[in-house]
Amino acid sequence: MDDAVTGRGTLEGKAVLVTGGGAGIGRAICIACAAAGASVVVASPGGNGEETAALVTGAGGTAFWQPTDVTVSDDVDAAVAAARARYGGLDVVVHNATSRRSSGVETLADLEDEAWDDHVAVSLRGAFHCAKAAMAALAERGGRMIVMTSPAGIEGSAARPAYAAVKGALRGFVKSLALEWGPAGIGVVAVSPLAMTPAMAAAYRADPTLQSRLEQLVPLGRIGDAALDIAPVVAFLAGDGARYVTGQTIVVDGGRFTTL
Amino acid sequence: MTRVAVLAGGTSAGRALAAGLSDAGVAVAVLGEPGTEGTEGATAAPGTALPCQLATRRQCAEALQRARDALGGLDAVVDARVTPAATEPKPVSELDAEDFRQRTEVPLQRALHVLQSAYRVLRTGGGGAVVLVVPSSSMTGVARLVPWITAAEGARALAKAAARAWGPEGIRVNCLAVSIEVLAGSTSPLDRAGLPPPALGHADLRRDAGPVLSALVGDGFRGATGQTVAVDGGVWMTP
Repeated sequence: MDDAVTGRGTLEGKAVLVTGGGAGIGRAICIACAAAGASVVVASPGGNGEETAALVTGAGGTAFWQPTDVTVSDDVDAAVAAARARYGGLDVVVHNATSRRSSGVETLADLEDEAWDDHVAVSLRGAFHCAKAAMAALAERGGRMIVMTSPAGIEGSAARPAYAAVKGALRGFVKSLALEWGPAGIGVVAVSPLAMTPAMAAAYRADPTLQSRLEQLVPLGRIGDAALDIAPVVAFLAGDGARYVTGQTIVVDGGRFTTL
Repeated sequence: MTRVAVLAGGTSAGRALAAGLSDAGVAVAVLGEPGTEGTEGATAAPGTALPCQLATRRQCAEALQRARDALGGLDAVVDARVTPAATEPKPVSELDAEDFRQRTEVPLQRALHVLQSAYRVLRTGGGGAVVLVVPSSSMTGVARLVPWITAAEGARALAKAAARAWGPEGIRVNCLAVSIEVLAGSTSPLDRAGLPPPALGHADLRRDAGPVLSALVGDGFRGATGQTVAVDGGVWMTP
């Protein structure tokens, strides 16, 4: 990747914490932020977070894995504390974690409370825990919170109603928190990506026609690549170049959704 | 005559909308938990008052079945409930996990339950409409009301999901966005300071939103689903 993509140096001296950083878009965000110069906390519940951290350090970047279940407020508090202890502060929190059920097909009429609560716990309660834990640290350094939402949260999804609901809810969370935190100098933005992820790959396997149908809808003619198309945008939003952007949903989808 | 069940409670918004529907010639059953704000006066509003519990999916389903029986059928369901605690401005830094649960998670799950219950009763009748009432400011965000707005935006996205899933079965799902102060029953401004006044002045739920709601649940809007119609006098004018 060239510097225009990596934003090399633009996050120099900044500490970035990424929830759900163990795989998929979260891993790509960790790598992109590190490539741009950030010191990264890979906050994820599983050992794949350690793999992400190893990928970053193997490429010459700075990162460590902090085991974190975002549904547990103590875990999130500990992740923020670890960032401050290791890096001297925290500039950016990226809340990317979603329920493991996110890529599964669900029927709204029969959706049970247990599945619903799993989505709510990771996406919404997790966002709340991140905000509570990080606010003071972010305020100290004029930082920002970036929340990963989804096209489903903007347009709805018949096949993934709970996922759509929590991703839509996160947009309300972002807009309101941006207003609330603006006077403290903290920006809050959402990113809505259309990207090839392990979850998307599973969806392709379940529905062989899905890929061609989706690609027809995208003016750029392809589904985004997490590393090349999505993560660089998140890394840019984490930096000072985006310091006057707040309360927005940045749609990174190859032009599929054009009515925001 | 269109037959509509209105879920009320928390503030007087549901009762006012029920009255507006009744003014427009709609047969209305007002469902509300006994003793809660906004439902105590249900008997004073035109229509049939049905005191009932609405806290769970099962209770919601039973209440809608009662409304269907009382009205001789059901064409639409309107959820105008408001969680009073959620309307009290408070910064995130002062909220604890239980506050967030009560102000965000519970109302959003209620939206799920009413949609699921409405689907079952409307499907047996060959179709119909569901309307979720939300604050229009949810589309632009409100400081110190993060939990309420989070839930409201989640409900709007859920309504779109339902609209996509159930459209083929003749069930439409839309949102009616009204003034946040009117919905909250607040005399103090809740949205950000410095906003221009509503272009049409402050909209009244019964007089101004009632007729729009009546149209939204009727055949005139049979081609509209997954939409949010704002009747707030013209504040943000989104989208």
